[in-house]
Amino acid sequence: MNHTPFIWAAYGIGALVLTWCALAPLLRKKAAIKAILEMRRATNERRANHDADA
Amino acid sequence: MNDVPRKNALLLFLHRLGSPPWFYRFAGKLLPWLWAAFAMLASIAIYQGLFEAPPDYLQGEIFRIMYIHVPTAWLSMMIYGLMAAMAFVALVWRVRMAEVMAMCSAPVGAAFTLVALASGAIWGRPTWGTYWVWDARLTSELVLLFLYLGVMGLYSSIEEPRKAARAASLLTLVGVVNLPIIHYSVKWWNTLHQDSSIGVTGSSIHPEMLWPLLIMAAATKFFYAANLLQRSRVKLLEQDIRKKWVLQIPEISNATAIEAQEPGN
Repeated sequence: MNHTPFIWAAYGIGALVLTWCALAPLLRKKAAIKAILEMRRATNERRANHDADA
Repeated sequence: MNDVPRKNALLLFLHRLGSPPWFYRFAGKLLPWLWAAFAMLASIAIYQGLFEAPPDYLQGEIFRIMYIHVPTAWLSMMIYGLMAAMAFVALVWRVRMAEVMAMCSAPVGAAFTLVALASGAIWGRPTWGTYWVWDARLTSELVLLFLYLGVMGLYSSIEEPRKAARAASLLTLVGVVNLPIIHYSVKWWNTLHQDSSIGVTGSSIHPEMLWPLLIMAAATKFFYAANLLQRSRVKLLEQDIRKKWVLQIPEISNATAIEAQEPGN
């Protein structure tokens, strides 16, 4: 029996799962920073509108 | 005489580690070194394991799956043990960082358990003639995966993060009973899975085959450390989204400064 496909499949699955595991927090961080910046922009706009009204 | 300041320095370090802004900065500095150590050790181990280690006298080339299967299986258990220790600290002393780190360990542990199970199944096909048997070692490792998934599910099902972490920590502690079952399953029951080849007193593996395994085991520990710190930093950002320290991190303050300089602002 040729064992090469089994060996590559095991390493391939390992690489795939661990790559996803490493990338997932980076994607979440990007989303979190975007949310923080949007929140900050909204606060600044509200503050500017409030100052203009005053 | 020198013990008192040293003790104080350790206490100060632990105290600082509990502060989210300090932890965020400290982890950020540590991360590139941990990833670099992982990349270097994993490259050496994979090269030696796949190309330099001699084939096994009985299994031939298929034994090379050992270099991914064994370190991930070891780490799947180690992560659960550490997660349980952090969950204990979180429950007893209500340390928020322990809660965050325990909960961030669960997906990493689940990933390593999945790799251990998948690589073991692939190894089983040519050696045992089947991908899966309901053998005590395999079943208890599958239970470990379900425990990780259960902890993750419970944590995400409760909205208030601290309440969620406490509930999930309790489940983590209950699941610790599975660790000795996994470890001793090959001794307690008659299993298809072989007994350990490496023990505290020595190893039955030839050094040429053993070294890549030990290097890979060290590499996976660096992966866990780096990934855990990365996940904990993100979790802190998500939880402290309205806190002042978050606005002062370079990623946010730099973006805010660029926006302020744009015309029209």
